[in-house]
Amino acid sequence: MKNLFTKNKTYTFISVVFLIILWKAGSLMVSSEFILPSPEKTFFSLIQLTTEPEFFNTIGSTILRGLLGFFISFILALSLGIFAGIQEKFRAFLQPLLVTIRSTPVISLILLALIWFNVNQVPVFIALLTMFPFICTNIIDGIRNVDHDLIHMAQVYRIRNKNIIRHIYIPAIMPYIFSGTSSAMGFGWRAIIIGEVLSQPTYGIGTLMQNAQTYLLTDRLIAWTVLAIIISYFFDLLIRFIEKQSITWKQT
Amino acid sequence: MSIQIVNLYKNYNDQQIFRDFSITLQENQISCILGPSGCGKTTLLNILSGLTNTNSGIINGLSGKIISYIFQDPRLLPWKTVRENIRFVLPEQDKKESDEKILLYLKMVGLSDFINHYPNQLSGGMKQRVSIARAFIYPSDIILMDEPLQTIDPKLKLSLMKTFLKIWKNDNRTVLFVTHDVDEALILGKDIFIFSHPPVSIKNILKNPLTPEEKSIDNKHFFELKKKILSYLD
Repeated sequence: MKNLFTKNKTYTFISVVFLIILWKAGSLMVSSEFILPSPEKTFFSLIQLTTEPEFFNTIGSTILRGLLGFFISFILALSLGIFAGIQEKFRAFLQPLLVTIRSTPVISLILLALIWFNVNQVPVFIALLTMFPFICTNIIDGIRNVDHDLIHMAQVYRIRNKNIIRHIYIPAIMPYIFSGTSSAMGFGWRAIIIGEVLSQPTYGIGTLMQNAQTYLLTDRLIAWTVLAIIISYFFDLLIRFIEKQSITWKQT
Repeated sequence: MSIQIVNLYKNYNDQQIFRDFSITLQENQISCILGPSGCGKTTLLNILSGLTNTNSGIINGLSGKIISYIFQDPRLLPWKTVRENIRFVLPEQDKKESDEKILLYLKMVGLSDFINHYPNQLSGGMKQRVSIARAFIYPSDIILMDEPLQTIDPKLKLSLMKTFLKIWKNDNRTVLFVTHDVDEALILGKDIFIFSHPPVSIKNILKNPLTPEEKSIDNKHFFELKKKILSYLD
């Protein structure tokens, strides 16, 4: 098992190196720093970004917006999702709303949000709307897939409803919550940055990406992109870590 | 007090399972229902445990009685260890002194070394033994059993039935055991009811005359009785 793991890590490393070589080759062929800067120039830009006074404000603002959007959508999805999972009629009512939100182009949401909200609220609103359907749908599925045989067993043994929820429903939907959160975050970070590009809040990765693009600072644009990928990856790892900590029985 | 079911009617979708069905189950005894699959055996257990409603009928002798149920499948919570699974069903007041008791019952089913294992680390037979321990440790008046030995291999089955009888003798709880296996019925049952296809009627009631020594598959009396029952089952 450990061997396989290290072997996989080797392949991940090879994949990253391959991508950088491809990038370097591309930049040599294009030979224009405006169109495709070299990896090393981008790397230096990245290092330079971190030394700029606004760096932490920028990163922090984007992350804060993402987390705020996530927590609001999580609480909303949890309460509505649990209710919809139990109540068939409410589920029938909620389902078209979820499909509509999920099918609406992100750009439409942003353009509307720009009319409705101030620039700092737009990315949060976008994050909320893109993440909510993922988490909510997963929670509904989780509740509907709870093993009714276990519930019947608990009823025969006269377990109180409070304990049925705590010891059967909640552990059963945990994996669904984690997988919903993971896909929601994946989409969420991208949506926030699009929101920032268009709404231009004072601090935000999207704001600075837009600036870099305007002045053709392609190396800075890619450097911010790399940072955005790192943020998204970090939160994905964090979710997996929390999942591993809380769902111990699956690993035995 | 015995459990009496009188004039029971029960339909499932369009099928009539019970039509004016009556049965009396003796207290502190293992009653066994033997019949083909799909003959409403599980339905009867679900009615007694309150998981299924009747269309009409009277059930006497169940009010205030506490039931434990050994299902066809073990129905253990996958996220709880063996110990936690058993603790889960115990009433609040019993939880404090439960650890010793859990260990004692797990010893009886031969699983004391697996107390901290999760269900996915146990074989099907082991899980079913946990569910048997759970049913006995629960302070019930009646134990319902729905073919719990079906998934267990024949060699283990016999030893498990002996374990079952050994634990049962401690408190002689009222047991209703449902099976389609004649051997199981003859080893465990005192009163053996033979059910027909639905709508269910009792084809035959047999008082099991076998002594503990005769309860062995290679015994002559056992074999003759088995042949007789198989002829009723057709």
